Amino acid sequence: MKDKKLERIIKDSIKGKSKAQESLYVEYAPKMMGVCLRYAKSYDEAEDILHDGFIKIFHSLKSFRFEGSFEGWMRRVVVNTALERFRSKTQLQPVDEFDDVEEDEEVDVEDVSIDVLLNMVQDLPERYRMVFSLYVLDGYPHNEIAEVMNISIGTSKSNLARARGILKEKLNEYWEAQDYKSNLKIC
Amino acid sequence: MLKDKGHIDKIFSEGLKDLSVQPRPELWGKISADIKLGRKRKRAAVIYFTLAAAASLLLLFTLSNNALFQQELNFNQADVLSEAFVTSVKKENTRPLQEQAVRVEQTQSALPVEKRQQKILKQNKLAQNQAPLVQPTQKREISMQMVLPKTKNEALVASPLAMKLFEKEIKEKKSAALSLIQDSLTIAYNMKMLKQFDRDEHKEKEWSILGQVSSAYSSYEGEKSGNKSEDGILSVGGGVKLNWQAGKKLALQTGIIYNKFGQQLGASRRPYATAVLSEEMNVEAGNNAELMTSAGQIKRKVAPDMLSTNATVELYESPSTDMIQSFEAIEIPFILRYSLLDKKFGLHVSGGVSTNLMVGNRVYDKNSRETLGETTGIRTTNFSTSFSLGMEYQLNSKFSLSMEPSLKYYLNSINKDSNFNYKPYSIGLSSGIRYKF
Repeated sequence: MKDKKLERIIKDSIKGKSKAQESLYVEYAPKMMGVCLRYAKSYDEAEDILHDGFIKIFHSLKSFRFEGSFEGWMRRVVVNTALERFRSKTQLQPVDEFDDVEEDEEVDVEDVSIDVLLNMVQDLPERYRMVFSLYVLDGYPHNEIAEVMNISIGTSKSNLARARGILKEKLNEYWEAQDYKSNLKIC
Repeated sequence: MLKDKGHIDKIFSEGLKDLSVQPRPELWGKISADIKLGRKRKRAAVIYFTLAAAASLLLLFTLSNNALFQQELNFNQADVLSEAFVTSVKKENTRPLQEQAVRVEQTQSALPVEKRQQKILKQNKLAQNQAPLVQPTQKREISMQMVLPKTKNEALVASPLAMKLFEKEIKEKKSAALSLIQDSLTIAYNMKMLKQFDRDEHKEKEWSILGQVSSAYSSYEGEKSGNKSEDGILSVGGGVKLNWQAGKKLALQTGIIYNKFGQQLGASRRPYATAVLSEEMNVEAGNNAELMTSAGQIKRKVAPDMLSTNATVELYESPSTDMIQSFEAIEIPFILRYSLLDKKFGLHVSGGVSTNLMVGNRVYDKNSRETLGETTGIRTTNFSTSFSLGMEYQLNSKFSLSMEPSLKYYLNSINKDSNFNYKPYSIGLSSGIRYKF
């Protein structure tokens, strides 16, 4: 979307014009849904985050100063929505820390579909999924993750390491299963 | 299958970073509806707070005027509400508010309008009695939160049933709050209307007395006597008017007002410069000599010492002295007053007719004030009309100051003799003070 057109649509959306709001939604909803899916456990939960995220986007649209990427701003709002949801849930969960941080996460790379990768991320325990998505997919540093998730930097690092370990294990299992299937076909 | 060493972060970031998935189409409908709902709620909240602010202001205004209000109305508690009703209301305090409201409404509808208005006032007081009833409920809510552990409490809040109950509770609270505000507004409005009604009613029966002093320039309209030496005079008067407020705007006035009018007769051009008094004229002490003016003939009183045998005596010792031909009247006006502005500063127009009873008729020396004679043929009862524009400044609920420029015109010639057509008029300014009973 061209900058001037986008600016006009944003301004119209601020005024509350439904068509402009719909245009923004149509343009950015799929990308934002992609973000939501990485933070959610399921498709339904992702849609809930997307719903809340867009409500927030339209509500706080007037705070966008037309500086920098609008998509980046939206992405941040959606991530914050996911984090808020996470924070409201995790108040009841105990916080565990891991001191051992594994740094070597090298794996043998084979073909793997996006669906499989997404399912693996979604299957991660919630805190690991959040830390992994924030750090690996959205580029948050550990100190920021610690702040937004209300955990220590050490916990953030250990959660990331744990997430990586789980994902590595799952990937290996997946590829082993794929190898086994292909061997069966050959036989 | 291609095998390569890669970092796990890279695998996932490359695969998921630019992930784009179309959400279900119906999601936009839901988002759109929620945005509109949010806007409606926001609008409702604005209306709610505006109403609340308005109600608070009205209540504050009403309460601040409460003392005055009670003073004006002089309501007796026993007259307003019977003991039985108070008792029944007290009993009903234990029942739900809505039920009470319905019962009070039913009770009101069965009563005459006046009684209902009185009860509205009483309800406002009862509302204060009801205030402690809300407190135990609030305390119960707080205690529930305190008793439950945080985790359980949150778990309860998170459950769908709890959410439904919470929404229901919010709706009930909102409707209760709205109904309270509506009630407050209604009460405040009714009290205001009642106050206005009472004020109007009071105003309708309002009597006031007005003391006035006036200064006026008087002249006349009519045929001149042939000389041009007659001029108007300035004079003062005053009196008391009684004002009866017939309606919101209209008032009737009557009273007793003393006023003076007449004309100045120039000395140098007196038409009757001298008169020769002699024995042949058979003028005796105390006898009169007659002189012509526009208002009538002046019957000159001759002092006994002025008479001397075969002497020629000038009527007027000093030809340079002016004379004043004056008339004094007691005016009984019947005035209709219409109020243009009825605030602290009032403005009104008045007009009416007056009966003027002549109580004074003399011609005197302007300098020495010595009576020289009187005008003959003056009617004892004359009629005049007047018009004025009055301004009034209210000092307090009882006293107000007034200023009233006026024009008065005699409808008939004050001289009975048809040879004279003397209709005096005066332009004056009255000022006074009004006292409301």
